Amino acid sequence: MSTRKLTRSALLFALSIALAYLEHLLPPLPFLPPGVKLGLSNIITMYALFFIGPAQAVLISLLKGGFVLITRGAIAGCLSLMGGLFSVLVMALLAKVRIPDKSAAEAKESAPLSYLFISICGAVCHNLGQLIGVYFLISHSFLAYVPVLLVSGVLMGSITGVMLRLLLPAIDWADRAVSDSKKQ
Amino acid sequence: MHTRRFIQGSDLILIAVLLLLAGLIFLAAARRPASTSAQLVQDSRVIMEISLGEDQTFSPSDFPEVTLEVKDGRIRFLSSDCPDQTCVRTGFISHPGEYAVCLPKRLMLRIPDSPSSDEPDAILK
Repeated sequence: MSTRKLTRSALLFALSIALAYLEHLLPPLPFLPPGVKLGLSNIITMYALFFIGPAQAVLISLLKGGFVLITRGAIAGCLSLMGGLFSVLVMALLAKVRIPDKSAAEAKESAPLSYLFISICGAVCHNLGQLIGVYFLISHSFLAYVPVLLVSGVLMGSITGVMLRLLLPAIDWADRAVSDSKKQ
Repeated sequence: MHTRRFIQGSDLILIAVLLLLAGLIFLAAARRPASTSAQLVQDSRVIMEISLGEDQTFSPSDFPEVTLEVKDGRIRFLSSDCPDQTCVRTGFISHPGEYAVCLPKRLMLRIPDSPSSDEPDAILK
């Protein structure tokens, strides 16, 4: 791994931890069911996936899972890994999918899925991955909780998708600042 | 080659499908009648059966740091010394399949499937 890649990975990892911590500082919203979180650090995973590559996104998820494992214990770490890896793998697959483009002049043209689409699927899959993890931990089916996770996935996935869009110039700037200084 | 758009028509279909699915599962779960008992479970082992028939507030003998409350046929974690308080914030549960989990203690309060679930849901002729 080159110094540039190492530095970039470290920067993105630090950003995702900082966002997770920021989210932790926010008070729990009373109208939200327990366990429902914004998932702000997913912004960084998505940035890595779309603008660097799937391998970088998987690496960020692994690092994040490892960090949770060290700081919050085995159970929280496993759940973070289950959610993070499942989500990133599904998003990486969806990023390759192409659908027919109705607005195109020629009928045969295809378009990639939108950022919003992939962001929502990522959030839902993060929730489902954690739910499967919980099932293995205490072997009880949680079907009654699936609607909550679906709705919150749609909501939180939309929010993080919009935030990726808004924060893109800032992350780009930080990433380029690191990369450029290495070139000189 | 098209660049990836931020939002496009197919997103609405995805959102509609996910919300519809959530609604269907919710309706299926809500149609089941309220239960008359709850179970306290640790590591898949039932520690205690709790009747929801009479209102009471108590601490299980194995877990003096946890307080449970039964009220109006529902049950909840009233208090717990765990750091995340997810179990307490879950609130009252009463329908089969509902649960409140305290992951730090690997402790779960759940409503088991009602005894009448041995009977067939429907008979096709």
